Amino acid sequence: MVTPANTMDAPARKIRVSTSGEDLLLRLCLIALGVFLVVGLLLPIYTLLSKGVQDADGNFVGLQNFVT
Amino acid sequence: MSVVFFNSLRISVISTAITLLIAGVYAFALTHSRMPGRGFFRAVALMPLLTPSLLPGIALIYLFGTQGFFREALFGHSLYGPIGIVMGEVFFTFPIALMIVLTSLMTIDRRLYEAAKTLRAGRVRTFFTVTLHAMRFGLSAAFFAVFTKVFTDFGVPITVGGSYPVLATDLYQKVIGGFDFQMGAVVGILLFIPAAIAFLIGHLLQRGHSAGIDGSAVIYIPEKSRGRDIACFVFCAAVAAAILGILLMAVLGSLFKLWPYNLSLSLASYNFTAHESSGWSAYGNSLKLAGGTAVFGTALIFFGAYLLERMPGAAWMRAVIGFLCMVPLAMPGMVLGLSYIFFFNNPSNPLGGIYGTMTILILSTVVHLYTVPHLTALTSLKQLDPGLEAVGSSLKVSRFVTFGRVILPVSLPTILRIASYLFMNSMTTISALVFLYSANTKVATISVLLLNDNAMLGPAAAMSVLIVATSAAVVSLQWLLMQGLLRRTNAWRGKEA
Repeated sequence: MVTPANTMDAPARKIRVSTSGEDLLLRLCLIALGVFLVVGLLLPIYTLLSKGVQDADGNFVGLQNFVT
Repeated sequence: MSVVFFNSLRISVISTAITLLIAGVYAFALTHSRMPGRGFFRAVALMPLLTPSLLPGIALIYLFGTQGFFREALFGHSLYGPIGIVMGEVFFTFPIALMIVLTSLMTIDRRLYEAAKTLRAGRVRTFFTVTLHAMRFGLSAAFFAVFTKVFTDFGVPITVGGSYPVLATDLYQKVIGGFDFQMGAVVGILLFIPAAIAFLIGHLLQRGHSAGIDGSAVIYIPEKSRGRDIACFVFCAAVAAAILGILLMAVLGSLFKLWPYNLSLSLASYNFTAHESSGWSAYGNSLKLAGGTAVFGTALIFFGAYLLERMPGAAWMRAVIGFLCMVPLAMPGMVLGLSYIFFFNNPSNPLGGIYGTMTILILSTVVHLYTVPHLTALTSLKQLDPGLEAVGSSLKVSRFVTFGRVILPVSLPTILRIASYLFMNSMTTISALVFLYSANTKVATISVLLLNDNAMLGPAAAMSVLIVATSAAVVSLQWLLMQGLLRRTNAWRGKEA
């Protein structure tokens, strides 16, 4: 007979949720949105921040540009 | 550099304090008095949202400039400098502060006033312990929202700043005037960091405020008080007259034949081809930019919000992208524009082809304006039944079909609101575009800036008035469409009755 205690002792079975083609398409759309924000926002900001700590030749100068 | 930074800080703190004081009293008068014309005063207060930030500067030159109609009102002080910047910024940021403070005042529970009355608290004590206490989150959130706006604004200081430099104008002079991109990046970072900090604090405060709003609150209806109502009416009438006066001055300025020598009225200033190389095409480009941003931005932002809110699984990816959607709100437009120069105007970037085209203007504007419509879409999608997609899949209907046949039609009012917000703000924005436009993609706000630089105040005012008229027309159209939509979707209510 299966008692609650027996059930607790039973090894946990992994449940795998299958991803349908539609889910995959939705995830691709989400990735596309992520790429849009990375290209339109993150990469330009990163370029600006890195320019702020470089000299005219592109060498890293730390916060020297800010000491004027 | 430190002088410019502290100039910006000083101007921002002073403008914010004055704006909050006026907006606080104005909001109190709208919600805690029974003065006549409350709807009119509210509508007038929101009008500066339709204007580019260059417009108050131009109107102030007509009013208080060297040849201005009321120049004596400044008691010998010059408009050009801190006085002009503060006046223009107060006009420009007033509706932002008002909307935030108004929300906090409208949510005060009437029972608190009744309790104060029962406990025999005087008017002053009730004001401090109930009204001001309830306003504290709204006032602090408004402080940071207005501070960020003033700190990063470019339009007002470039028109009436004179030789008083602030970070935004310094950045413009360094990049456009001196081609010193290295120092431009440094100034850009200095502009970005305080704006980001102020945004974060303001955002946290606003969340605290939203959490404190109780859905069961009873709406406060003020009692009649002749003295208070008259005082509130006089104050609101004075503020509304100032706002309308600035707008009217811009319209009149665009109609003067040759200010200040010939004040007869004519439409000569609207003949843009006679004043500027781009002529009417700048206005046409603005319409293209606003239309492109509204169509592309609305589709992207609404579908993006749908994916983030209602897609199953991919929780970590949704969390990361959800955070990225919030970043543009902390990003000053000028900093975004400058970062686009560095990123897209790089020969090794395969996307470099869009530099100098309308595409980069639309891209930067969509990114710059992304957060507010994203939050609007999220709020609307959260209100829909979470089981809609589950019902669809149990009927073997694709998620895309459910999206097209159920989610989209139900969300049409929100979609309209997003499109109108994007259109209106694309018409009035200048900050990011000032670094990205080319001869073929010059937009109306840039044209206003160049006309003002060339001392052609009349045509600059005319182009500003055209921008305001277009924004107002779009807002009116949105209102009409919303009314039609509501009539159609709520028709069943009448039939049922």
